[in-house]
Amino acid sequence: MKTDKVLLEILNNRFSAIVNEMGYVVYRTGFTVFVKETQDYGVGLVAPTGELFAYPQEVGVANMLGMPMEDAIAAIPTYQPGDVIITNDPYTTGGMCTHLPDIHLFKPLFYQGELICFAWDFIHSSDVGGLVPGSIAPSAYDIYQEGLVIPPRKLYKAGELQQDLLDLILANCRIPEQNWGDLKALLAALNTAERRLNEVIERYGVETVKQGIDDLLGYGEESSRAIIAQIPDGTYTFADYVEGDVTTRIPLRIKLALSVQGSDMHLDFTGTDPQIRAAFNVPTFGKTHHWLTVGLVTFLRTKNPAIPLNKGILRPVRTTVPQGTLLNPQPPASCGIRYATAIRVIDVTFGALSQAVNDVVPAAGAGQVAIVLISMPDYHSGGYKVSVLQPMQGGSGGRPGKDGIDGGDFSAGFLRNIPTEMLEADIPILVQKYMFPNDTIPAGQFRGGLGVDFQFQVFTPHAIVTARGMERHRFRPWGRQGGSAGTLARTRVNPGTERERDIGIIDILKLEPQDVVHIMTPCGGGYGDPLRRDPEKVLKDVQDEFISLETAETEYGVVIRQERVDAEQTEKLRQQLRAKRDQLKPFDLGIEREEYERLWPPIVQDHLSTLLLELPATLRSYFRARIWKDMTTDPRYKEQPPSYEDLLSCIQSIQQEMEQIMPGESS
Amino acid sequence: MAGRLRLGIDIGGTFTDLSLMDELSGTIRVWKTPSTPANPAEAVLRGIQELTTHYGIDPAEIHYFVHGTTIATNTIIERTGAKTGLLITRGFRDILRIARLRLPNVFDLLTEKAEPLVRRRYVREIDERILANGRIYKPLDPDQIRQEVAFLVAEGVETLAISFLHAYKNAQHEALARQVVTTYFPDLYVCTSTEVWPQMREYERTLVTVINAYVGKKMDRYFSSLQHRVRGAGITVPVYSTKSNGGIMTAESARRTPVETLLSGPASGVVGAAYVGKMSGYDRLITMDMGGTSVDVAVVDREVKFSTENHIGEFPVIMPVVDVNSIGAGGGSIAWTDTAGVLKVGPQSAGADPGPACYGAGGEQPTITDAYVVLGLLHPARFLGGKLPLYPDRAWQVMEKLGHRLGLAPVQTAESILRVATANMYAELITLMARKGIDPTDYSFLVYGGAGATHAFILAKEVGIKTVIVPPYPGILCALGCLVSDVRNDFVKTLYQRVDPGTGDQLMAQLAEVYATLDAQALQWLENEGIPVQEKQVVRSVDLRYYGQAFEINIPLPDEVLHRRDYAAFAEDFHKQHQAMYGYSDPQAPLEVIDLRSTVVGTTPKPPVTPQRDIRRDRPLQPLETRQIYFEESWWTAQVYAREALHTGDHLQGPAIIEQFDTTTFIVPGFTAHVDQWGNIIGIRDKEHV
Repeated sequence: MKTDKVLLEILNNRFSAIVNEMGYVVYRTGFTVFVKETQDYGVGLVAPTGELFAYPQEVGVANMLGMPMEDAIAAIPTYQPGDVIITNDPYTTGGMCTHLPDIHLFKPLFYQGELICFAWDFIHSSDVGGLVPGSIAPSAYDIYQEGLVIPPRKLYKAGELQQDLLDLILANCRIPEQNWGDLKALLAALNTAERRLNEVIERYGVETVKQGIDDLLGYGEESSRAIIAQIPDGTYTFADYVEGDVTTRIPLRIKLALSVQGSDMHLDFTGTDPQIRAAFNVPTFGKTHHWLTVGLVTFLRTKNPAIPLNKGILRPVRTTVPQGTLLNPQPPASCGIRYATAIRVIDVTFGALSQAVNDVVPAAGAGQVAIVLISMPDYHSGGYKVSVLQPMQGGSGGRPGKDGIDGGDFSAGFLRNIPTEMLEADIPILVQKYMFPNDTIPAGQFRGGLGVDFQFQVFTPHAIVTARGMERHRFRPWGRQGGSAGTLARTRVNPGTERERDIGIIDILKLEPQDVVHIMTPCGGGYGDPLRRDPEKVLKDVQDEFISLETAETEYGVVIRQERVDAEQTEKLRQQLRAKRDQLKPFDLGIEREEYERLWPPIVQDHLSTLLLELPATLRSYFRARIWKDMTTDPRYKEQPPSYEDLLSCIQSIQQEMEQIMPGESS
Repeated sequence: MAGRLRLGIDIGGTFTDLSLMDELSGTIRVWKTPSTPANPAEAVLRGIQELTTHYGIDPAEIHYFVHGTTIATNTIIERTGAKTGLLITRGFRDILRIARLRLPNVFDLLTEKAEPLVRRRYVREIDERILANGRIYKPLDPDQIRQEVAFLVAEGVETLAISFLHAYKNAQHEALARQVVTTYFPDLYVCTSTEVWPQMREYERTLVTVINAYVGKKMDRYFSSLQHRVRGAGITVPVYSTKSNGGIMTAESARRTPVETLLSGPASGVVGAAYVGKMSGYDRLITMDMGGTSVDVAVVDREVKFSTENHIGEFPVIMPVVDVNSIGAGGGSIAWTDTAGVLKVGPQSAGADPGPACYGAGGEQPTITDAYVVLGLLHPARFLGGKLPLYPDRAWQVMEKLGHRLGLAPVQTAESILRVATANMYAELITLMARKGIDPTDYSFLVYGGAGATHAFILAKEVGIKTVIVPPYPGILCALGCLVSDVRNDFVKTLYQRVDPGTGDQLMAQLAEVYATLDAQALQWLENEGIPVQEKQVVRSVDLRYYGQAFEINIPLPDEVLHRRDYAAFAEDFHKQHQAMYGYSDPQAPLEVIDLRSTVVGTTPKPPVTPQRDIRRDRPLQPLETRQIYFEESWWTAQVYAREALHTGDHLQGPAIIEQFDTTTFIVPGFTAHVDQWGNIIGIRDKEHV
């Protein structure tokens, strides 16, 4: 490192000032409401190598530090001052973009004719065309249904707007003026960056700045290595499922083997299920990609809150993802809801990491964020009223030394809810409940964070509820080190009445006047042995009516008499319970997943994914669905799961069948 | 003669500052005495005693007494409030814990949401419901209120907040519940959300109500005992309290709505700063109050600015408050090196105890203040007028230790700390200004607080600020602010209503009706306060947005527009403002009116401050001494002056150091300063450095 350790921090601060300022320019001048509510936009400064070297701490999407930009940069043969490149295409940018609504811009920044770096920003546009308003449909089976695809092209050439390109883009969106407004906000931020970078160069010199960019990335790497080196060498494996594919309802497995050697880390996602014909694929190109490293970056930032925010911190990390899988799909796989899958990647990262370190990594949290929308006819205008009901997430997992967070998890903890008073003023519904459930807290020495119960009633005909991102209706968030698994999400209509229906994951839910909808989000898993929980905390949870007296005794072995912990009786009861119970589970995966994996053991899933990799990527999900159905319904496999040979012969018979029905083709 | 003195007192964490203004001569006298956090009134009384004795003043001459206190703030931060209960609509029991969902830091796996001020056991759900249109859907049962409150009282709850859904639209249920409570439990301190701040948004409204109840009892006791005790000390006038909105109110009001005092300290500082700036002819200011742990920054653009997005500790406060933000580092911020050996400053602070290493009170880590000492900017024997002797050898020791890790000598290490701290402040200031859409180079710095004047010129140079103003008594600007504040109160009424182009007249009729009530309420409030004012004014504004947008813009509603019911002019103002802020407007689009606001201002008489006379010196200004200081990688010979020796018209060339009781001003090379007729040091960047 050539830059001294004082100047490095000064440059780090100066670059942070630039990206924060960019962020606020977008925030203040962006058009779309969505931008302000969810801060779904991003900004940064990118080294010529394609690595982000400055990234804001407090504005915009906070977790895209790992974004790979080298392919997008290489897609343009030559750059001149004043160029601005536009793109939203995952497949020609090597996974820089990951779904079409994110419109990215970047601008080469020159100093006296020399390219120094790039300024980059993006915004989640509320519509880029495609099947549905908003451009995100879970059932979209290829990217062309998800909107207009824009490969990297110059929107400005040497400062001149390419009106033809802009017209073409705007003609393909449902909200052209808003999108152009948002693009202007992005352009303003790029110009801010250009002006400010110039000031830094004039203050500190061009060579210093160039060297500083290099060294900041090196500084990131060094800081990160210092943390990784503390993790014991070894390979830590974990897997979990994505449930939201409403087209097949087959759970999709994400598998990770995380290896550490010295200060190097390897993330190997081999064994992850094939890409599917629904919008859950994550185009990463198998790189050390932002959506594969959110959990890891969160871990690094927890261990060192002052770690420099640049992609250097991911330099020690190598990644393997087989092609044609959910996490490395081939075009034209759809990817609108890739964040549902990315959240599960966070869970498997924590599942693997928590086997290696025991100080900060939590049990599984809610692992979902459902954006629930309601639409109903607007009797005044004749159109529709559409409103987000609430972002529904759930609680975090219990943590080493701390209870889980009630009502919020790390993967979408940046979202804000909507005041009930505004909701009810906007649409004719009555919110009956927006609070924590009673007596459902997953137990642990450090209990899981609580999910939220949301219950509302509709009064008008033709009300429709849709949702994207609903998960964890089938498999619970896992508990850790003796802590219980979390609770399942649940969606019911008219609970407690004769007309009660369990809906599961909402696709499209049509309601009758007076119907009541009850959505429960998951509580996170507990952490640690409940019999070691501080009895006073148990007492407090009883007094606050989070848990019952009975639960205090059965789950925690805490005896409470007249609002006091009876220490003697508690000790006695705890001893009894300890003697009676089985060994503590390092992971409590929940009975549903245990049952599923008895039928469909991880080793069989491994075999199947190996076998499927032999097939063309576009056929795999078809084969997988066929085999999954055959195997899970075949009574032969109820007792004895299928062997490698069973799977192989099943695949071969499907292949034969296909050959037979396809005249003229030969294998 | 009686009644010519005004007394302003500001209770800070470390010192209680007093400022005494003579309305006839225009002179200001100041005094500082250590605070007594356990019983803040002690320091107030001692301060009055010391000040009056020192200056030979009869307390009876004080006819105007304003006082600012951080008791409410500290009560929240230290969680030492009353055992509080909350009555809430059924189904919303966890409103305080769910809050607005958002986590404080999604990248910290050990992050914690703020623990609610009321525990769940004491949040009681009431079977009542009012709809968004104000209609009663489920009537309130007084018996249930009585039972629930009886339970709370039996549990030892001392104060009670009542907040029901849509109460901003229909306050009947809250009023009825309150009536039941006062009838059956007359000793309970109780407040309802509609009394405290009747704005739509149940979490924020409930929260300010809960905060009010939580600090209420303590403040009630404090103000009644203070009033009593100052009378004992010979001050017979009523005690006024400062408010977070930069105004003042009577102690009686403060006892009822103590939540309005939460951010009053910083607010008074900004009011004082704006007053000083205006007098000197500078009305576009970035005010900076640098203390031990942070810098409080505010923007003054002819007027003090307000914000409704403020926080006290981790809690949002939605009432309009003087817009002050904390950035960067303070004198106590600690310098350290991370795993890669990179130099960092803050966010840890050595605070007041043990304080910087040079305090000699056990601090082992190098701080910004230690850097000032090593660089020669602070005089060890004259810090705080010699009341707090510094130990330079301690500063050198810790600097040497840190220097080892950086491969630098102690002076270079100290200078590196300043450079990094300045870069931190730069980054945060630029970010803050970007958030507000302001170019800081259009503004002047006005600095106060213990360390403000020491660091301001360094930062000004970095940011490109041309003018830096250091008032005569930078340490007591809050106390001065107390003396020049107006009587001020805010009112709100949520309308939340769509307006289509054809329904403008209807809206204006509605506004006229609502404002008739709000204005009457506002003027009645002012009347009740009974504070003598010269002028009364009601300022109205409306929060407006395009229908469907998530964020609203505050648009002033001038008298004539309201009286003429001129919808066209009203809408035009909105479209123009929207165009200015977001670069587009759409005159055809439907609008949505959210909140109607009204602020009553009673202007208090401002004593004329007499300028200092230009003193013709018989000999040139003499420095106390010259001192070697280290700055920007070289040694300089700085002239050191005593602030008392400076007179109007004096000129100072950087590098120069000006020492006074409450601060040390460091004018960096590249700035030239003069002393204006009000005693302010006005530093101007030299042309060649522009």
